[in-house]
Amino acid sequence: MTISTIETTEQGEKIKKLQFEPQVLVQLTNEELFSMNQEVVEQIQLKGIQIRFETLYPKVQALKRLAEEQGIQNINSLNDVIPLLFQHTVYKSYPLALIEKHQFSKLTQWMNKFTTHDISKVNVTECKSIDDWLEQIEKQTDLKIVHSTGTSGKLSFLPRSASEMQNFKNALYLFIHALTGVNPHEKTIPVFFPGFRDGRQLAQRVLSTFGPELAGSPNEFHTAIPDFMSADFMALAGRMQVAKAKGELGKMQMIKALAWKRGEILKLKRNRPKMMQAFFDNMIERYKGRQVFLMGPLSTLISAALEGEKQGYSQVFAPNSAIVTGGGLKGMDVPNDWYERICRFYGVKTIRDGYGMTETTGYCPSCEYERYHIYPFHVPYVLDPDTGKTLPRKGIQTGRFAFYDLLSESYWGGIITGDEVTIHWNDECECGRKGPWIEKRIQRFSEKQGDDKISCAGAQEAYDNFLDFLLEVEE
Amino acid sequence: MEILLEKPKESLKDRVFEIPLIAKGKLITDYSVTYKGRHGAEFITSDPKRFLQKIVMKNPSELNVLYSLSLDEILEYLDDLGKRLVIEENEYLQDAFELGCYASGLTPSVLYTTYKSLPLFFEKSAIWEMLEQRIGVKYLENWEPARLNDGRTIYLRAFGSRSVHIIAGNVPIVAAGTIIRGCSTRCNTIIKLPSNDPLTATALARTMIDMDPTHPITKNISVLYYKGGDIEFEESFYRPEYIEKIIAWGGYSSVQYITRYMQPGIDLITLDPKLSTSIIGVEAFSSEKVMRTVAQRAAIDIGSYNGEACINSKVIYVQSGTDPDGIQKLNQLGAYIYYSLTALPPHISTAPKKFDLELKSAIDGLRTDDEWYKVYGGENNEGAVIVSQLNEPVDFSYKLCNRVVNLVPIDTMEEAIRSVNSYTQTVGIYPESLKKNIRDDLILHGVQRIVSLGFAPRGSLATPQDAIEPLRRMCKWVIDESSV
Repeated sequence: MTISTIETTEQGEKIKKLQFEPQVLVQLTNEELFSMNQEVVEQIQLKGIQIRFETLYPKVQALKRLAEEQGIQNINSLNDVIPLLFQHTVYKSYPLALIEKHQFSKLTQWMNKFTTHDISKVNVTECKSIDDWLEQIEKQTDLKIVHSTGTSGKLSFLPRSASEMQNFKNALYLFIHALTGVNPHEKTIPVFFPGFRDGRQLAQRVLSTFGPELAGSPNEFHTAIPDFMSADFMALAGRMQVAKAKGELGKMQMIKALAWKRGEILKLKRNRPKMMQAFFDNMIERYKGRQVFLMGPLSTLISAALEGEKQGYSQVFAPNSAIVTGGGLKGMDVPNDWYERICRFYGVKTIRDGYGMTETTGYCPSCEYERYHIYPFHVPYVLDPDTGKTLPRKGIQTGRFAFYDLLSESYWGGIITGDEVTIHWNDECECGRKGPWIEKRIQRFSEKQGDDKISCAGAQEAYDNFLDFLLEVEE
Repeated sequence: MEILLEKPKESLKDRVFEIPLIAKGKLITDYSVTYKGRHGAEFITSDPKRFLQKIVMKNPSELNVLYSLSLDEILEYLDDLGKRLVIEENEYLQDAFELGCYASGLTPSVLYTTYKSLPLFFEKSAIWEMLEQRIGVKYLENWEPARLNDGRTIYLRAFGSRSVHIIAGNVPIVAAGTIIRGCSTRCNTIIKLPSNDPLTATALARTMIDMDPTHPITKNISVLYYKGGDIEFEESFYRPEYIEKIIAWGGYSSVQYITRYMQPGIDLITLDPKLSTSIIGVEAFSSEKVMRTVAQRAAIDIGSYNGEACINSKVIYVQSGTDPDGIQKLNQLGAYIYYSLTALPPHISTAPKKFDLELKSAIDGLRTDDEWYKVYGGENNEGAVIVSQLNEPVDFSYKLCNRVVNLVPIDTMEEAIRSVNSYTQTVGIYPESLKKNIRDDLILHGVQRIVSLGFAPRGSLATPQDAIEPLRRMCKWVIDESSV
């Protein structure tokens, strides 16, 4: 089918625009995105990938190199792009030694190979930390690099720029609307986030950037810790977790010594319980019965609810409040009826979550049938985990999840993830949303093989354990 | 039986394997417990709780029968046993091999080579050498007198103990070595089977039963499977009235787990997982011919046992220099090593059964950029040589396996010495002169075994292991102090 056969001219025009500017997809509504005909979606996706390849190929050195190695010059079908998808390890393929030895200019040269923005001239000679480095790049260019939680012991850096952050905002609003029925474009309500005020880890950066806007004003954006979540600290926490899993006591001591050079730990550690208490007190006392947004890792939301229950609270917010979470239980010891209890505590009927990662712009929302729906701006693939070859885009397929993110404009959006997923390509979901969907059970391949990698949602915990470890002797 | 050297073709789904329990030399075929294995297979075995009392030795006097045997008689017994361990003639070993083809990380051709080598370990002269070198035969046979400065005479003897061995399964030699160590020191030996080698120890014990079911040595062997973490069983089993020594192979978490059962009266001997490395001096580049020889020797240390053993080299420090000229030489050496590695004969080394997916993704992640790492091979599952272009190993060096090695350029030996630690077991060194210069320093930094490059796989039971003396520690060193 060609574009010209699409039913109406008006729709044809719209689709044509989407094909040439696939990022415009994120400006549609959930209803529009999830009611599109799959053939049309795939046409838009193919054209979108072709356009991205044509524009990024000459400018993104890492892509150029991979394409040359694979001998690929044209993309004629969705599957043609598979050899050009980056492994999820690509964005952390720099030697850790560059950070340890403060060779930030070399790290800049590395990052420069992944973006159309020229950051080669950025002056980073004064940088002493990852935070310094990221800050200098932000000051001197349009890039706003975000990083992962570093649970594998190393941070991934993704070169997002200002325009992509705008795409992220729209994707986030779509996601919130899909999960909660509240459309943030139309309505602002107070936002609660039991984390840091600011930071460059993806979820943190997204909330600190758009939280005040979602809330209507900075005063209605409530965070638990009024500090900046340091990238260096997260990197050390991740390395500590790996060293601990491997039983490398010597390395743990070394990491501890590195972290101790930073003075703020002690203050944070001492004040943290008080801050969390104050956060929840404020939420319960001042916002009781009101409609709010509450966003945070599932484990944090559960602990807070169980604690609040003990203090005799229930039905804290208005039933039309929106609670958005992710990360799963990650082995947390919870009562069997935890879900009913947290719904009762927060006063909402349902709490739903999403699926995404540092490299996706936005998240896949879950529906009332416990399925993650994939937006058309994320082109999904399921790969055979052993051969890396693509599995058919039909029926039910289980394998390694890969995707092309059409909302990336200045970096290559094709990623092969470390996750095992099951995608239903043709089963229409009872919720009415069209398009492929992912089963709820998602597993990391590294965990399947009994690796020491901790889960992404474990990061906050890793951070907390790390603080405990640092203070074991010194306090 | 036709020996299967190709990858097993039939599906494992719905296959049921029997793992009989051996309780003090008695075969028990009560298959009341089912364990689900990987790939859909199942295996059935006895309920360890039900037979616990038949496995443990409650009355230590039972060990006395072993003292009615001379060491020579014990060695004769083991020598006889070795002669029956010819895989072509031994059905139990054939079964163990067949199951090993599924369960082991080794490929069938390499696994088969290790089974073929079993009889050698049981030769009388080999075991005598082990006992003499590691313990001193006289201490096993007699109360050996020694005079102290104060004029007293003490008598010293190495007695066997009641021991449990939680063994590793990556190479079947571990099961054989455990039986040799236990029997030759007059221990009562209980072996907990590993899931990656679920039948070798059982096959050896069954051969012992066939040989002589009433022999005291046969009656001091038990072999069983239980799931590590079965607290109810373990609490009733790891008790000082039954067990004096636990010899635990395994990782940080499994050993840490065992420590919960530690109490006065039980001695724990740990054999931790180890990593090995190599160090190559500047002399390797003296000529093209030397470079190729060095590459071949390195390939043996990397590729033997398919890179599954603790002795396999994972990171190689090479004194090529870190200037562009040095890096170019190192890349050339990397290409040679890759060639030698993939040219190893199939009975020594093959591509792995299954390539580690996370490692594959980490290697592929380096391919967009060769400024810091140059990768030879690894497109398929044949193995790879990653040549660091900076003097740092890859950040995922702890994940290296499946015949993937990392070459790291250095200017001075200091850098190589600083890289080793207490996890480093074997270091293969080229040339010999360099070995003498740096070995003391390496040892101070944690290294436990130093070999000439290319000889890492050539271990012997007659040497200490991981810088400890497990054989001596399996014994109870008892003194009789005589004062007149």
